[in-house]
Amino acid sequence: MREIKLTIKGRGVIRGVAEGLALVSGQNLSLWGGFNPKTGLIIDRRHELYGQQVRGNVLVFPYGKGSTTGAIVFLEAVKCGNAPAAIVNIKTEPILASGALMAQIFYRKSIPIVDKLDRNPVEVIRTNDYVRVNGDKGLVEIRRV
Amino acid sequence: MYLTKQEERMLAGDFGESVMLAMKILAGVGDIYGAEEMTKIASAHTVMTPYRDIMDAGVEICEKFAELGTKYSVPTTLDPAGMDLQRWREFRIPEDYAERQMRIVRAQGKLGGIPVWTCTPYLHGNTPLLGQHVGWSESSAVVFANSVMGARTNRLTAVVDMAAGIAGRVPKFGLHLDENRRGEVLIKIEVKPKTLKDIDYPAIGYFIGKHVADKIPILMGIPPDVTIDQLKNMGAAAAASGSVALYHIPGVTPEAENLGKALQKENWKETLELGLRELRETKEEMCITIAGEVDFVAVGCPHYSIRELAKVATLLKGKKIRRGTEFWIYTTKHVEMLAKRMGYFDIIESSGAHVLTETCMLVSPTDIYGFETMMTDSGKCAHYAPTLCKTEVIYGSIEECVKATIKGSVQ
Repeated sequence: MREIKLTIKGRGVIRGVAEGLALVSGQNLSLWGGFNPKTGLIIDRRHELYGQQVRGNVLVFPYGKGSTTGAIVFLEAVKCGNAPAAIVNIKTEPILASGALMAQIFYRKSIPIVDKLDRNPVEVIRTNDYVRVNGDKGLVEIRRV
Repeated sequence: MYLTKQEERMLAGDFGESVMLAMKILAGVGDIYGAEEMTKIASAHTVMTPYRDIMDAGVEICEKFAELGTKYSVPTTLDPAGMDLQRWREFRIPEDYAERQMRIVRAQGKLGGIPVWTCTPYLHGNTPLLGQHVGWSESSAVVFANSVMGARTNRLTAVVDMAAGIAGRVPKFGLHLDENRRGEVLIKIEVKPKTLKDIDYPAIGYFIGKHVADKIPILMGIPPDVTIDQLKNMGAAAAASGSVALYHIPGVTPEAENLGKALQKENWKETLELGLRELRETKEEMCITIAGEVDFVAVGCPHYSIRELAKVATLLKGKKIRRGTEFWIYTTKHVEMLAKRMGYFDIIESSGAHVLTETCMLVSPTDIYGFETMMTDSGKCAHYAPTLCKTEVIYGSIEECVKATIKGSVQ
């Protein structure tokens, strides 16, 4: 089968470069009550990614939502080694961006985030595509075999 | 982002490592969201308080700031802790959990956090004035500060709220700017104002949050004699079912002397009607189940005021709650003290109900008791209890809640 390669361009929200297998959802995701940082699993029963492992994957979803406690859930995931490798959003909301920003500051761990892309990432990227997220340049490279 | 000379020195570490750390966080958030500058704040409020929510990363960060020897530079109030700080043994909180919670208490103490331990700091001395900038988290307090007090804050998140308190500043974007405070969605409440009861307000909030998400609603049809408690409970529900951080009520809230002011001379983008049918349907939707046995009744989300506690005491006077049903009422130390002086506390405790302070059902480990069905008069609690407390939920008025504690069930 022919390999597909594609690069989409957007805004780097959080700097750094990381890659991994994509985990894609068209639904918004809340960290508080939606994700267990101690296991890396999505625990929101109403979410289509329910039961999926986030650790080391490139998480692709439209927006974040939810509580003002969210950023600390993200930091706990980083502390426990269960954070995603990178995140791609249509638009990143402040709670998630703050969480990833503080992961750099407190744990020296970079989880690059790119948003506002020239194509809708939720439609272009498919689960299990190999994705490289470049938060320095705002690029998302997609490889599908 | 433009920084003053002083702020540049803060970021460079001239005022110590904790101020530098705080400025790094605030400048980083400001850069992402296109803030042009920082604004000084009158106060902060932080959710870096319950162990259940902030976990070990939270303990570590509180202690890191505390060890750096810094103090909050503006009055910074504390959200509820993850257990009743005095009666936790009586409520069977595990020792290792309590030990971590106490580390948070000590660290926040060193930082000079004001230990109100409440989600209602606006009833306990954190009272910014109209137009003043503040840096708050706790979604129910943020919506109250913006809407009812006319103060200005974004929905800060955990740790960023501590950074705001330490640096005394926040990046100026979003709700700090006039143009982002304009009402967008007109909500026409078509229920006779005189017939609106306490129990209707969280339902109105829940309906609004669900439909407007994070847009700014203008509420038409709320009577001018609406109480602070009703607004407190309505806003909390709207901030839970949606991300509402500001609403206007023409003739009631300070930035909306009239509809024109709330709209800042623009037109509204959308209209929504809320009649008796929508109100009834929303209340049904807030329940996971509607009848049957109730083993846990929990109220005080947000924390009960002294007026609300007085009402419960009046309803419980001379009554005993049923064996097998727990009735827990969450409030602050200050309100508890008033309730003791006024005789309400004794009435409540002698009925078999309990007054728990400085915590609530959502941020303490309520799931350890194995309750099956919770009843509450709180829209915010009804929204979160199924996931956080792992119970079924029935939403009802305080009169209905008290009835359920006596009968042990709802028909």
